Amino acid sequence: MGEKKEMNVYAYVFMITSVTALVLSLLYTSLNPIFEANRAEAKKVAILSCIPDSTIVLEDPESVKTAYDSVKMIAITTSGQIYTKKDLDKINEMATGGAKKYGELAELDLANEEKRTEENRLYPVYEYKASNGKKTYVVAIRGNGLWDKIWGYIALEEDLNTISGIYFDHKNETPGLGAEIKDSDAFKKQFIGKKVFEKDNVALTVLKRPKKGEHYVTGISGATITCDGVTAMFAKGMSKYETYFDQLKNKK
Amino acid sequence: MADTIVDSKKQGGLLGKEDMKLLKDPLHSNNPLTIQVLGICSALAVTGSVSKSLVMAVALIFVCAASSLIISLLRNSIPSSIRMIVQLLVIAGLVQIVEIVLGAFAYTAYVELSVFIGLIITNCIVMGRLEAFAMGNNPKQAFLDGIGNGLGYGWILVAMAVVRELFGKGTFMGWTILPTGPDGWYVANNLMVLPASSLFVIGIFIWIQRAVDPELVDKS
Repeated sequence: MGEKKEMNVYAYVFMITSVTALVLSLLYTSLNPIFEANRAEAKKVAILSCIPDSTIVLEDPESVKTAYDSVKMIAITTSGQIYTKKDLDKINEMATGGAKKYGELAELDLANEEKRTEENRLYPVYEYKASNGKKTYVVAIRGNGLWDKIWGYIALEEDLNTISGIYFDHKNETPGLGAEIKDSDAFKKQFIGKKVFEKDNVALTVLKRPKKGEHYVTGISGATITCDGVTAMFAKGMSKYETYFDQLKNKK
Repeated sequence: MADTIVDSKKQGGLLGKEDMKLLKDPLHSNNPLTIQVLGICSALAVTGSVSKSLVMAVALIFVCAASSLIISLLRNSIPSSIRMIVQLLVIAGLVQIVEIVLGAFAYTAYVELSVFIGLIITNCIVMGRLEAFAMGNNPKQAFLDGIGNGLGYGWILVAMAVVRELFGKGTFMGWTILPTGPDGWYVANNLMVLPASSLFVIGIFIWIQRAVDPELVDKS
């Protein structure tokens, strides 16, 4: 029985890695656009899910698109400067610190904005006008949970203080504990009707023990650090919008 | 008469007796999770919900079957010094394909499973079957063995998830079976939601399986 002739190891490695790379890159280039579209869609659904309008249907992409058409998006800085879709080039010029540039304003993402320096950082405001003329403002906040980042969309009524809807998400919180900020409808429902600001400060707090008050929400048992993270996220995130909110209120 | 070794071709039809054995053994007598005790890690992580487990099971069946098939086709040409590296390359490549396809065509499942899809690469069942079977058998049998082991893993996974989701959240695939919350009577068993519960749920499964079929009990 002759010796089994083996191909040269390096030639084999070259061959097999080239084939694998080719297959994966072909698949990736053809499917990545669909994946990115899915992500953008999921973001729209998250924003729309906060808005307390029972006419909004989020069952299929068509109805999501129709609902999202009533959303006007702008980006603001902590100093109160406003940027719209038309200022996309200016927005991309401000992308310091290795932050990614955007193809359109809807791609604005707090995770990416964190890379920029504070003066250049933009925060989104989504303004929704219902068919009865009632306006809802959805803002985005981001902070730290127990294990990794947490973020959320907060819908505010026209007084820019009362919460009318909420959406939380997280990168890696514990299922059943920290992850309940996203999964528990009971937890999220508490926020509706609560007020964020007390005079000029963010007063919304997630507490361990239930306490009556328009700024207090009861936390999740076993998820203290995540809930403290939510309080800190509100304090830091909502304060970025204060200048813009004052401007809006003065305009009225 | 050499009756014991049945040539699959003599049987006629697509799958011979030996081939059916490859599909049926991993479901019970050679189950990768409860008998071979491989791939327990992912069983801890995803069995909190039935829908997650279903997606994970399908993903694993695909990776196991496809990698077994590919490695079996390549088995005679892989240089022995890089054998395991090539196996890993094939497994990793297939898992990447699963991730991309899920992200494009089943986005909700992709978000639900997040890191656990990537962890299929580390699942011992896949590598275990490649080493134990695919490297020494023909492609058709390796493919069937991959499917069989995937199914064996999958059904235990889903069974565990049914138990954990029912007692941990009172639901099945999201539909409420045992009403929890302020108007319900069922107090959700939070321990069932934590990964640690899978350890004893799977222990109970192993116990039941060996009680039902005493042949499976280790005679040592």
